[in-house]
Amino acid sequence: MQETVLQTKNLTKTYGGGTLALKEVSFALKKGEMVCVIGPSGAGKSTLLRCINRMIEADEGSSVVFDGKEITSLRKKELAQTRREIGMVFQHYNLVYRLSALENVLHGRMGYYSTFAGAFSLYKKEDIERAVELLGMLGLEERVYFRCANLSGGQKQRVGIARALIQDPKLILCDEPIASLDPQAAKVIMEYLKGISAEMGIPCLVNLHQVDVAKIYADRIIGMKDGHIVFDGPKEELTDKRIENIYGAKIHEILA
Amino acid sequence: MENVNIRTSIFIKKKRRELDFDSLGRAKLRESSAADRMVVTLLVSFAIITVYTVFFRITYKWDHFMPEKLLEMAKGFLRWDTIATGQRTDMIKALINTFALGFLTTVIGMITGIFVALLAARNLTRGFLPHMIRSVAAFMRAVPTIIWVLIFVAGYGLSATTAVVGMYFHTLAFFIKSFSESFEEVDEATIEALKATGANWLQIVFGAVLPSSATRLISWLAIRSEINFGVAVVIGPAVGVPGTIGTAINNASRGGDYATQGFGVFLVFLTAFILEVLINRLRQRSIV
Amino acid sequence: MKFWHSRLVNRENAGRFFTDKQTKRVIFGLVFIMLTWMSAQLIGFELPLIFERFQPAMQRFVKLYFPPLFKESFKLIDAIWVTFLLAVASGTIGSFLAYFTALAMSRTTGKNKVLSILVRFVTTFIRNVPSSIWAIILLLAFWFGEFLAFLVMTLGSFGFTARIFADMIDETNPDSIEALESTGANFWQIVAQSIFPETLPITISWALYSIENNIRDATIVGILAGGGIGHLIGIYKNFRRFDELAAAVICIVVMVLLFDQVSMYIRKRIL
Repeated sequence: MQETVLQTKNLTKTYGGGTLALKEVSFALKKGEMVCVIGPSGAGKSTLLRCINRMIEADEGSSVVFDGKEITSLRKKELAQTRREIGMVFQHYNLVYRLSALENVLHGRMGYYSTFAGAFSLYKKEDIERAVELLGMLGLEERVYFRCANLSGGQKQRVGIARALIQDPKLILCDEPIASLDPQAAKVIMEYLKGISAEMGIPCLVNLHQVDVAKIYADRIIGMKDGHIVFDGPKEELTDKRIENIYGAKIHEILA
Repeated sequence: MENVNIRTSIFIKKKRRELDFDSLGRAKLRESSAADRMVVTLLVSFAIITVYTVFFRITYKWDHFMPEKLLEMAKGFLRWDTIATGQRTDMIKALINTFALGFLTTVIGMITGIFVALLAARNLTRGFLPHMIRSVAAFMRAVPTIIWVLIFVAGYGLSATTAVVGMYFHTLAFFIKSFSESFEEVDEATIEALKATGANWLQIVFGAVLPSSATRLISWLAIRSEINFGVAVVIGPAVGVPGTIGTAINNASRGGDYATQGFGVFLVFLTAFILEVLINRLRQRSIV
Repeated sequence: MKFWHSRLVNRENAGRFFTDKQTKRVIFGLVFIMLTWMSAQLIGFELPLIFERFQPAMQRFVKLYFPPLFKESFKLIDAIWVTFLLAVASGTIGSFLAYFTALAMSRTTGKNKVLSILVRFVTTFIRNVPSSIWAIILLLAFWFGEFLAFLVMTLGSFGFTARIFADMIDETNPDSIEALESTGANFWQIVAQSIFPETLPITISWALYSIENNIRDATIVGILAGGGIGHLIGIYKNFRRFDELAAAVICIVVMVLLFDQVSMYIRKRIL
């Protein structure tokens, strides 16, 4: 098979107050793979994603190897440099709404600029050209200079994807990317994510609420329950029985 | 479902779009709106005015600058052990006087303010009256408090009563504005429901408007108490109202008694701080 | 209606005359009335006096202040201009410094706990000492004049806006901060690219408000510290030139009302 991009071992996270969010989570992600993480809310999906790029610090003894580097032991500066290579797409898009689509996409390059140049938006011409090109690829050519506040939900998420893509990432983490979108926009976003992994070869780790969507787009599905991985395999193997196990409810209740 | 794997690329591959450039030759990053331009204009004009004022307009009297005085004051600030007991109690008395002055004005302003504000709320009073009252209130607020006090000192002579009356006008105007706005925020449906039962104006006011805006009114009351305390501190040294803490601090300061001065400043700070904490708690409660 | 409804629901309280909340309210009201009465006694407040002596007092007032005399109109215009300059400059510098202070104070951005507490302490002190007291204190070291007025107003603006800006940054949506952090941006880049653009209009609106306050305060600051129209008013007061004082007051009232209108217009446009 292809090379492994990400490998977690014994990834554990305990929040203050003793809540165990993740317990010894181990899995690997290969180049060009689209993996969907499913599970009920509170299963630790979001924490898992954020522990990978250390937006949340995992407990001692956890191991996250990304691109041959042990992320959990990186120092501040090295961490920032590593984060440049991991794109992230969020449920609430996490855009700066008073800035334009283009400016938000350029935020993806921020880690490559000096503090001064980054703070005062002194972007390189080739970065701006690349950002405009990416927005064009995602069908936002007419919206390049628009304020993000004036975009629709689907368009906002496409800006979010462009921001991740301009990082030239080796991995893209998507935290519930379609949870706030209508079905039509959700389909478009999932198609884009599928395209990113299949055509560009960038592996995507996607948290999802909807099992049916995961079954359409994923190459592999990880099922989580109470901070554990309870299923990890190709989508064909995700039977109704196993879904019921993940969600702890009957299948007709889940899809209703 | 099947076409996912065999479909053509979803990404639009087109000829690269040319960048737009702004007047300075930099690549354009956003469409600037009228609001953006106004913000930039404001920032630039603020900056110009500031630079002009600080570097070309203000006259600096550095030959009179005495940093050693600052040092002395800092040293004396917490040396309360050097203050005579009599002076200490005098200062505390002055503080209580000052607070009483502000408090009394606030109460009188509030009681009268509620009634005028009812007439100034557009959802309770129709016609030209609200507009007229608001205009008068805006004018009353535009005249500085200290001027109101000076005006009444001219008529009545210098006394605590004069100070209260002088402070009263500004307070009244403040309450008219804030209270009438609070009244207008009362849910129209509540008022309509009472109207439907045939309630008269007074019944609407006491049955719906006052109860449902009570928390807001109390929070405005607290805010004005804080403001009026500050005003009461001020009018001592500015006009010469005797027995207020501002006057006492001023006297200590001119006499070079920095320990007493520091004690007075600390008392003022403490009172204002306690009021601020109380207001914050009130505000948090009214949100919940 | 509501009252009876709550009685019906709260069966336990049905028999009692006062519910706990009502008892509290009555006590609160009584204390309030007593405090008011005590305050009046303490400072020797005499309400009847005001009505008894109303007519002669008004006559005296009209005689002293009317008609307003615009004698030194050039001086007046210059003083008003200086007041405007001082208010804007101190409001700008005060807000500018306050913004950085607020970054240290805010829960979202203030990562350094020690610095945060220290800054909070300093701003609380500056804010809660009235500007008149600052004028009295600083007068000894800086001498009477425009610079002192500028300093006092800057302290006022700083103390006032620092806290508001900290609350504002706390209330700003932190989502985009998270996104920028995930791309490897550093602190100042995040501040400049996310927090600053999102808060800029509100910041300007509050800065305008603090300038408004400065103009309103200009009279008192001028009397105590010197500089601008307040200084002139102080001189007129001391030399009992009340008709000229009335003219100066008209100037400042016009200025306050004018600036209110302008800032209201600006606020509508940018928010």
